[in-house]
Amino acid sequence: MAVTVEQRLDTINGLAGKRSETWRELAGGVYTLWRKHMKKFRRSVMEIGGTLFTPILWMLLFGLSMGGMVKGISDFTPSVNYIAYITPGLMLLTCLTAAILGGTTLLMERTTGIIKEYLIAPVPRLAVLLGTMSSSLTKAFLQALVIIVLGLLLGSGLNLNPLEFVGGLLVLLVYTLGFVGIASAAASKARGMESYHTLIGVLNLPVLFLSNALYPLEKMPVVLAVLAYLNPTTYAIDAIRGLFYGATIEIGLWIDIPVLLAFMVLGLWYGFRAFQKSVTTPN
Amino acid sequence: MTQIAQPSPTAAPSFRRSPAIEVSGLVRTFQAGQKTIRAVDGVDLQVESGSIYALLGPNGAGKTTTISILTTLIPPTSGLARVAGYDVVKDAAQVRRIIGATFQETVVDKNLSGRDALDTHGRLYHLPKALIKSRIEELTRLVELEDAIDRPTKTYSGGMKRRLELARGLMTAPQVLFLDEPTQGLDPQNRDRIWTYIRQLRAEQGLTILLTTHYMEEAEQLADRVGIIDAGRIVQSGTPAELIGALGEDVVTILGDGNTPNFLESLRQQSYVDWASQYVSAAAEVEGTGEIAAATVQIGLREQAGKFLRPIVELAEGAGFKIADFSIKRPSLNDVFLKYTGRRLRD
Ligand SMILES: Nc1ncnc2c1ncn2[C@@H]1O[C@H](COP(=O)(O)OP(=O)(O)O)[C@@H](O)[C@H]1O
Ligand SMILES: [Mg+2]
Repeated sequence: MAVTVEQRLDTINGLAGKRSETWRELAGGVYTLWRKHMKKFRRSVMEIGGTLFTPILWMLLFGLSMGGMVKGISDFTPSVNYIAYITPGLMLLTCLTAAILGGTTLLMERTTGIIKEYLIAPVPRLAVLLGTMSSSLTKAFLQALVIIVLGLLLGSGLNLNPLEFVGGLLVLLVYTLGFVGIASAAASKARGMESYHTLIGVLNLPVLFLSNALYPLEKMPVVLAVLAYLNPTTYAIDAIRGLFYGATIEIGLWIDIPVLLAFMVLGLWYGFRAFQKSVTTPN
Repeated sequence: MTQIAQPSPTAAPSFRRSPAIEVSGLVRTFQAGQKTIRAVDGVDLQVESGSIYALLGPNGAGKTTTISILTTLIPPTSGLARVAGYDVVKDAAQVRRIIGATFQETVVDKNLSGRDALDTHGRLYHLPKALIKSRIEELTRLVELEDAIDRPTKTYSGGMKRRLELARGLMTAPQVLFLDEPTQGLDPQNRDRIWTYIRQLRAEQGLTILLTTHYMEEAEQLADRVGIIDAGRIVQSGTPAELIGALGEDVVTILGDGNTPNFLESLRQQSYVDWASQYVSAAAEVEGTGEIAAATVQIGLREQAGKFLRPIVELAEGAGFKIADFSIKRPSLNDVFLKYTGRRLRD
């Protein structure tokens, strides 16, 4: 049966009594934008290629060459093999990269004006942000999956305790959301692609190298260790190493998890605030 | 001609209140460094339900800013604006449910197809899937994009993107449609197409349309009412005919052959004729035929020419004057604009 415009208007009439946007409008908006971004993602050879290639590159670069070069691997990584030891760090790095790339989606839609189509639609403004965030999160998780599989192929093994595995995924989620928030803030403030990358540039490699991603904290010079303790990546790696690969946890989950939750809340709050500001005072 | 399904007047009586758009004392300022720009500086306007209103003004006049406020994109600094009775600030959610818009700049995702663009739009407005499908079919036909609708929009010409955007603005059968410079930068053929669609929409659906333009021809061709906007204020408004009519009378130029003195004499006896004379430069070419007309007669009218054309033709027949060509020149909106702003509208 064909749906007529009259029926559509009945739907509007149903909503017309509501002065503010409804939950249905929020959920529908988030889903629609997520769907659109994922469709663009599927159609973009570049983006899919980048998504797969980056983690593969990191794994091969660090997993094979460095693992081979470093002597006394067993000293460094007492409880697991070197591949399992470095995989969490590379996983988080790719998630961070995906979050940054996801930010460019928001930036691009803002600077081209595509976002206006969403802003005048009966969709809460929050949905516009959440839609972008959710697609960027999805892309990050796809990359993390590639890393896990590659790690398995290279001999990392995997902790098969389902509860711990899910716990690891949640840690990954919380960590990525924090950076998705920061990326959204940068994308809301930046005037163009260049200034976005300037704003965000400080995050990328230091996050990997100023952490326990490649070396245990106790083997680091004090200065580096202090910096590593200031880096949320350190806590995520600590937790994920234990939860995914059964490594000995250096810091402890009861510290890792609250730190990561705090990081996520701060990142998201920062993202929401900057986005809200950018849509109420355009340009 | 494509028939667009239209809402029955009884389906939504509350939307049929007129005026469809009410704006009073609207002000919007922007901060540019130390300077405060009054982009919109006290705009008042009313658009009757089912009519087309054109905001005509040069670049920087405040047209886009006015549209941005009315479409809930940005809040006004002060003043009041209502769309279909809903306040654009307090009832923004309700305004959003019933409006459609196209923006000044072309905004379509180049890697997605036209169909994707329309589908996403329908979903943003929570339309049922079956309705989205049938609307896409109807609107694709309306804007004549049947062959291109499944191609990525990066393969579209500028005119095709504009037509797609118009279709997108219409996806949700809006009560009020906002078009910001709908034909800016288009070739005459695409411009004419868009004009045709807009006229068709008004005629078939009684859609209320507020459009902006800096082409006076566009305002003259499409609008029931025109508001001339300059430096954030509406300096004059009215129907195109009123605006132009206020400037003076029409001049009818007739080319032909026969008893010219007799024709002139009978013309001069009419109350609506201000003056009538034979053109001094005698013979003139009848446009398109290459024929040379023996006489050129010019008639200055006291009112607009419209209803007097037939009597003039009858007078010519009665006087034994054979008309070969007929033209009316009236003062243009350009002249109106010149009068009220002291500047010429740049095309
Ligand atoms: N976001 C903004 N920030 C600062 N100035 C702006 C902004 N938007 C518009 N303006 C200024 O406001 C004035 C009106 O602009 P606009 O509404 O775009 O005019 P139009 O659409 O008639 O060309 C211009 O002087 C423009 O530079
Ligand atoms: Mg403009």
